[in-house]
Amino acid sequence: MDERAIIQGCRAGNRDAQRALYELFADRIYSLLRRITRDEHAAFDLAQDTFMRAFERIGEFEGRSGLGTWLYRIATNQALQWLRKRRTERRHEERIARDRRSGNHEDEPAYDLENGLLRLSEQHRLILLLRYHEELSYDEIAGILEVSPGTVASRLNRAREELRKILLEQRGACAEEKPDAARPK
Amino acid sequence: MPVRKKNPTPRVQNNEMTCSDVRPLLGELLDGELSAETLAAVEAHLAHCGACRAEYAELQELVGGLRRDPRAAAPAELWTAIERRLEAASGAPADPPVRIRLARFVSGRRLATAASLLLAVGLGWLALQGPWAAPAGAAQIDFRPVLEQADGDIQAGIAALLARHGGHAVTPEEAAELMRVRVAAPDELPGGLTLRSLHVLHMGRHHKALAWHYSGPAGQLLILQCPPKIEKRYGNRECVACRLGGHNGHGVQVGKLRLMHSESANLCLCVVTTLGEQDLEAAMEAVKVEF
Repeated sequence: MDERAIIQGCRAGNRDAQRALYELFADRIYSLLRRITRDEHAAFDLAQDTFMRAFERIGEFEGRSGLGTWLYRIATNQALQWLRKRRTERRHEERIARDRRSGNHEDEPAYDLENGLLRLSEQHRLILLLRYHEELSYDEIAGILEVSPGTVASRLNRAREELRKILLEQRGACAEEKPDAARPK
Repeated sequence: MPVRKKNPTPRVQNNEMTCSDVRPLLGELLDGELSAETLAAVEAHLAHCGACRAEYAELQELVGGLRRDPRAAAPAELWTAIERRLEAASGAPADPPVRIRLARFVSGRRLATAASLLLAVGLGWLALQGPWAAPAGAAQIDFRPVLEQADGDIQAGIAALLARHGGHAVTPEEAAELMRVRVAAPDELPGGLTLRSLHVLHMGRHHKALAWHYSGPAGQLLILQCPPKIEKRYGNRECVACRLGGHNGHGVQVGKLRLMHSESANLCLCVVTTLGEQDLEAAMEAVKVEF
């Protein structure tokens, strides 16, 4: 079933078309939501909400952007709403960061990066994930975030710089901690 | 969608760039977003500037880490959950509301028969497994914390079971939102039972269960509920591998504790209680779950 047939089928409420749309994008949408929220339960629920909303609003899809871009836009809006709701409960992220710190991940290069992403602002985390996790172009990201491609470029620059500074800080902190940890008692 | 002309205004003349020209463009260089003209100028600068090359290498390392992160596959249950919501939204013949009736799954004779079999299996398994030290959020409800207290402090055992599955207290409204069910859990049940807590529990990666905990002079009552795992097989919806317990349709007695389990097309229920049969039947008549 091609994209046009999927859209037409979804508009008619055809279950096979809905399933085809889901199969095309489920992994990408779920994966993005999981990366943004850092919470697999939330990602599971938000992915459901994303597809439900897409099926409800498929009549509003005008084809000016790709179907994937449109779905990503719904998913990122869902995720941002969720993050705003959770902003007052920063305990979640702090707990994850604490769990990570307590784990034995010293040899894993992804460890710093994971914590670094958690400490980024929501806007910067989202744009880095869209660019480097989802491999979307600047124009596609612009379509999802409804900003100009120039804004995408400058926002990405700021996001990379923020992440770089966080990682440098973390490495500095580790370098200070390690001699104490290694000191015999 | 707005289309950006790549680097519409060349930032340099005569192909000569300074470090301060190049640094802001390194990200776009990495992302392959530079125009041919700007790309040539940036590359020409990098060819003779070690400091900018070092900064570019650092950027490549940073982004490489982000790109290495594997994509998570959507869990198989995601479509099932969406389809259920689609059916509910379209008013399709949904699974009928369920009124929990103890009489459906408690029979004194069956309880006794099943108890001898399942108790042996259960205790043998416990002996092999040792203390319940597996990570929290087991894929199925892990009854070991409460079974360990079968002849001791049941209330403490129930608290341990809730903690084991990362239980957090919710209101009935929050429970309805989280579990997409309508829950009628009265504060008081016959037999002087009072609702102590309503918890959402986590089972494995993606599944949740609801847990009502009542207590009173007649004893303790923990009601666990989750949507069953349903798979389509040859066009038929079939409930497979219930996550609440391995004693499907049976009851088991361990010390003063009784576990009973039932499942239907849209509901899995497990009851952990010290109540006598009459008190239990009266209590369960008053609890109602609707989808």
